[in-house]
Amino acid sequence: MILIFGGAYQGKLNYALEHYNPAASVCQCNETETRIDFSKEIINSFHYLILAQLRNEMNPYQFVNENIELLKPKIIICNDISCGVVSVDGEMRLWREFAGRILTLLAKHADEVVRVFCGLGTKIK
Amino acid sequence: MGTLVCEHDPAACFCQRLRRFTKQDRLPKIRNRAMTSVFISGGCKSGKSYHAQILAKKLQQVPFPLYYWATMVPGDDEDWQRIEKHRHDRKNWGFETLEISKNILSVPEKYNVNGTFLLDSVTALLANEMFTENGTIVADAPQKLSHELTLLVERLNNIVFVSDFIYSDAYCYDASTEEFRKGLALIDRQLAGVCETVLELSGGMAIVHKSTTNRNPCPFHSVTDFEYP
Repeated sequence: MILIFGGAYQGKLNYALEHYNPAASVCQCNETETRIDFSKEIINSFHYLILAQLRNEMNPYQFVNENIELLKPKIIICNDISCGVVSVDGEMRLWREFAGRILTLLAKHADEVVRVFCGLGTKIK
Repeated sequence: MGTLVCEHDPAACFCQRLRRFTKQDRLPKIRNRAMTSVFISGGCKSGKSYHAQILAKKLQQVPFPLYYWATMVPGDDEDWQRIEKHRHDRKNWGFETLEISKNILSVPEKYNVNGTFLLDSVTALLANEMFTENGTIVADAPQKLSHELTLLVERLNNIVFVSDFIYSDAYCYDASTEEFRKGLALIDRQLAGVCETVLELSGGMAIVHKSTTNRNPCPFHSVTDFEYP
């Protein structure tokens, strides 16, 4: 597994395509879809999958744990949403907590972890 | 040690020479002297401005001027007082303040291009260009500003940019704020691409994301070499 994370709009997907596989197929997560298309090589916007699952009263941490073998051959791209003010909105609070825990879990299983800052990647694992 | 311009044999060291161009923005070189560009970003109160001031001071090539490029458009008396205080503080550092909040390509015409410019901040500059007084949004402001700032990297001798890292919080913003974040990120990525050195400030410390040191080790580029007064 290759985990690529960083702030919003930092060029993470471009980085993945440029440095790993320009021809990779991309599963684009969104705020409503609770499943992943495991036939794709890149899972983009993983933070949205987490939000979608929370909104549907699923446990995304458990989902990642149960599907970790399927996620291992993938490039996973996720926004780092951990650095803002604690939100008054309960859903947003839950979202960033789950995103943080899941990033940690993914990083543990990943062969490589890259943080992208303004389009520039730093390999931190 | 402690100087941003390499003290090695200039002929042997890449650090003063290498620059990145995007093809359409390529301009004829007007000077054959050391030029450098630095892009700094990071969270709030992480030491960006302070670090940028030190770097700019070190980059200055006396007798050429050291400019502080102020970008904020003052809204009320409190703003004016803050600006006056900052201006006074910077005088002790040897900065001359220039105030250009729009039409930034006028800078090379009005000021000494051999000087060292500290632009603080890209964020304010984009806000000026993007949000108009009547409340409308200029959608192509990020592309325009990104292009103009790239041209300035080529025209000005030394320039240090300060931007703000506003991309790592868990919040769904309204459309115009999201447009602004997206636009600033576009400029940040472009500047990080064209600038020789890219620093992220965190807790007052600089993380070097890009430096010509990768190509040819050079003593200045290590963060530990920066001297804090």
